[in-house]
Amino acid sequence: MTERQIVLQADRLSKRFGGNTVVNQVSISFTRGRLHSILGPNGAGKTTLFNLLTKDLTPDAGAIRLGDRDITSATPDQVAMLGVARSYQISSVFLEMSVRENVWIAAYRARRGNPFSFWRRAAAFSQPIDLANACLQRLDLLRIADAPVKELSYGDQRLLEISVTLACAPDVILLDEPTAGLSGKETARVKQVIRSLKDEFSIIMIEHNVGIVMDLSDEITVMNRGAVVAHGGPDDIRANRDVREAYFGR
Amino acid sequence: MLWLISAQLVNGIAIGLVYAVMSFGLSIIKGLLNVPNFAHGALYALGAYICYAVVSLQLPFAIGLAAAFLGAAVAGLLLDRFAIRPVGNGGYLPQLIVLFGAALIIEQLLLIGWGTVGLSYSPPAMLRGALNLGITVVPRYIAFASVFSALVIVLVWLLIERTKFGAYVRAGIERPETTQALGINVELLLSSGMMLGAGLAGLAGGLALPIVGATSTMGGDMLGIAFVVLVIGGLGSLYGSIAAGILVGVVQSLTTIVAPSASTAIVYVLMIGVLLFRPQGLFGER
Amino acid sequence: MNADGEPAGVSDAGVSKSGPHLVSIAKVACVIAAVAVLPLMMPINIATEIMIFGIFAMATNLLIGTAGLYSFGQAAFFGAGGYAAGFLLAHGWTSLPLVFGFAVVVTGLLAAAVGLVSIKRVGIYFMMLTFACNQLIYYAAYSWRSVTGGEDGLAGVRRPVLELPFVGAIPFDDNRVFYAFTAVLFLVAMAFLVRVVESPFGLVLAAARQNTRRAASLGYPVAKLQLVAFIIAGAVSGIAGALFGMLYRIVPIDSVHWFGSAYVVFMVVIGGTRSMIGPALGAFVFIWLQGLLSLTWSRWPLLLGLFVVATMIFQPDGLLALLTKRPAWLSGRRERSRS
Repeated sequence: MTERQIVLQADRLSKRFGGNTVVNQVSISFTRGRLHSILGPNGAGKTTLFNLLTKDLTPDAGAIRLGDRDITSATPDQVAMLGVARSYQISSVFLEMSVRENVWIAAYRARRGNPFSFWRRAAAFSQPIDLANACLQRLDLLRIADAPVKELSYGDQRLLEISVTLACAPDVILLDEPTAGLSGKETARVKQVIRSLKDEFSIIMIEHNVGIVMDLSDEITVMNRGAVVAHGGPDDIRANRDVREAYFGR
Repeated sequence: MLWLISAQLVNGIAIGLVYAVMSFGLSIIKGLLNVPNFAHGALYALGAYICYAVVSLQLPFAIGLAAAFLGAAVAGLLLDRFAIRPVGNGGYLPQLIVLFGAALIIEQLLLIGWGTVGLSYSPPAMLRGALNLGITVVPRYIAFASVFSALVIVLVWLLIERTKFGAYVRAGIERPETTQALGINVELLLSSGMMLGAGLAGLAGGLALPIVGATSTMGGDMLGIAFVVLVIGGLGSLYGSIAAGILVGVVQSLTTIVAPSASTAIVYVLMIGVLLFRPQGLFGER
Repeated sequence: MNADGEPAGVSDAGVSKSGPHLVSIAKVACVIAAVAVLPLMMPINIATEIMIFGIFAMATNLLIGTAGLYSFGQAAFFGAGGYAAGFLLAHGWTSLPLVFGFAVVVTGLLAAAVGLVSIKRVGIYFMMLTFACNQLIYYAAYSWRSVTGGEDGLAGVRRPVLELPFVGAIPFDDNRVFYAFTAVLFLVAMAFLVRVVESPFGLVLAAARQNTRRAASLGYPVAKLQLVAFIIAGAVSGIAGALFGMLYRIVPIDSVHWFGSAYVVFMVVIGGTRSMIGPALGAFVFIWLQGLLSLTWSRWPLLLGLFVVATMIFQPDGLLALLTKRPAWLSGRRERSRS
């Protein structure tokens, strides 16, 4: 693995909703093995950029490359199978299932389980279980593995969201505000988990907690009004006057 | 041949306008309450029977039409209060099931009241006979039904676009989450939307009475057509059903020339055809 | 077989350390006992009809309860299965595997076509599209007199003959034998559908019901999975329709009418969508009530309508929930056995 290998790349990506250009000609590349944060005020287009990268939304213009593959016209499930997993800002867990089932579903597909397999019971598939348990263990969710998700606290649902994302066994992880709404203790826990993930995955993170961003990031891109306004290491960003005005200067 | 086609064309526009009145009501209910009104066909039949009841008391046909509208509107209010609302928080599946259950009840009550034999009624003397339009001759009643339907549609359109009530209705359809914040009585709004939509179904039934009579099965067939009109028009579009209604009426009427037996099936073929090329319907947004 | 068809199959089924196997065995025993006792309680043909509509309702519940696809066009497949099987049986082909195989293929293809048009449309749109496709198929059947008999129905349907090695040919002309045969198919259908619900496929369908976007972002081709579910449900409904034609030796045009689609959704929802026992119970109550009411009053659909409205208002989770509400001490114990 070379030091500067590009893992995911967007080239002049644009997205309009009605008359609003929410993402405007954004070119950005993510390096393998690094944690790259995206910073910006609300409405800067960060989550829309994520949605474009995972193909939850189709860009109006521009191209997306994953490694050396063009994924501009791929579907979300294809992107996922190519090794990109994401967590959502609003918890997207399966509320009527247990914690374990949520993670199991992700792990089953990550282990290349056939989604059309309807002639065997899910319980008969043993391959995903170890992966699922490991992902639960990592966020300390094994203690509540059999609880129905809808009975979980908000904080635990957020942890589960990350756990499910890990169970996709991805190369690239997109985390959309992983600490939003968490208590101080839970935030510290998530921060520690993300730090431990840095060695294994390429991580792209949207996060409003500037402390976490500065502590964990290798690279930071700042967006405002749909466009990239700055890019660099944490120190560059801290020193950047424009960024201070646009974002920190409150 | 040309004469036949133009006669069928006028006929189709007239029937299409009645479809449009019916489907416009369905569209308002779908927009506001977000439920496909499975009782719409039954309300249409109710309108026809109420109109029949009124005119058989020797009252003028106009009063029959008014009664059809009001009677169906009251039925709509009852449906909203005693069927839709009690199951409201369960999503639209329970809602459409109670609506279908209510449709069964309404249709059976009509059978209890008027018997299983279909009823027929010929239009008032003033509207009998034919009207010579130059290129073709149309029955006076067909001409009347078209003009009257068009007027009703314009009136409702004005009501929605030009009045305060209409502004609330539009807000309720386009941004349901904001209506509460605007200080609108949401329950009242939904009830009046249901009444208006149901009333239009009843009115369509009254208008159809002199053309097709009143039978117990008239609602089921009409419900299918109204759904098709709504899908062709586009579910997101409040007014799409008007144009789609006319289109369906015309296509159906013209098909009668070539293959009378296929005139109902063609409606569904038309729908599939439209959806293959414009999945969101003719006027719907994605 | 775990007759408890909850989408939550994994933890019950043994991914966690213990599973309540006794409960499963008890459920299976109850279902088999009910099927055995049913014909003693009522006229044999009503019992057979309950089995047939039980199959139809369970198949529909794969869409409604598991996948969250509210189809209002399932009667199209029920009726098409009846016509497909009935056409062969009326024209002298009575081999049982041939007849059912043909019905399954025809309805499966038809469901694939309808599914392709409608699956990608969500919510009310999906419902109205399946409804409209049902109407289209109804009018097609109505017009295609040479095959379907049109308004008069497809008459002259014979019952198939089962050729078994060593045993010989088993005819189904005796209504009791036909009941037994239908009941076996009912049990097989239930076992099959419960298995589907508990499979990875079923689990993902349930996941997509709860959050479609998340299921896709985990790498699942949701629309394709739903299409396969639609085809499975259509084909199983076709088997039910084929049985219905054999029962009364005619396939009436009403069997393909959308009223049938609405009725089967009634059965599913009245019974309860969270298991396969719910729809079977719904079919039982619906057909039994229909049989009872239609004998007493010609305006019986009025009472049926009232019953449906009342059930939805007072027992929205379905009648099965009335029976299965566990006493607190039992659910408490179950909770502990899982942790």
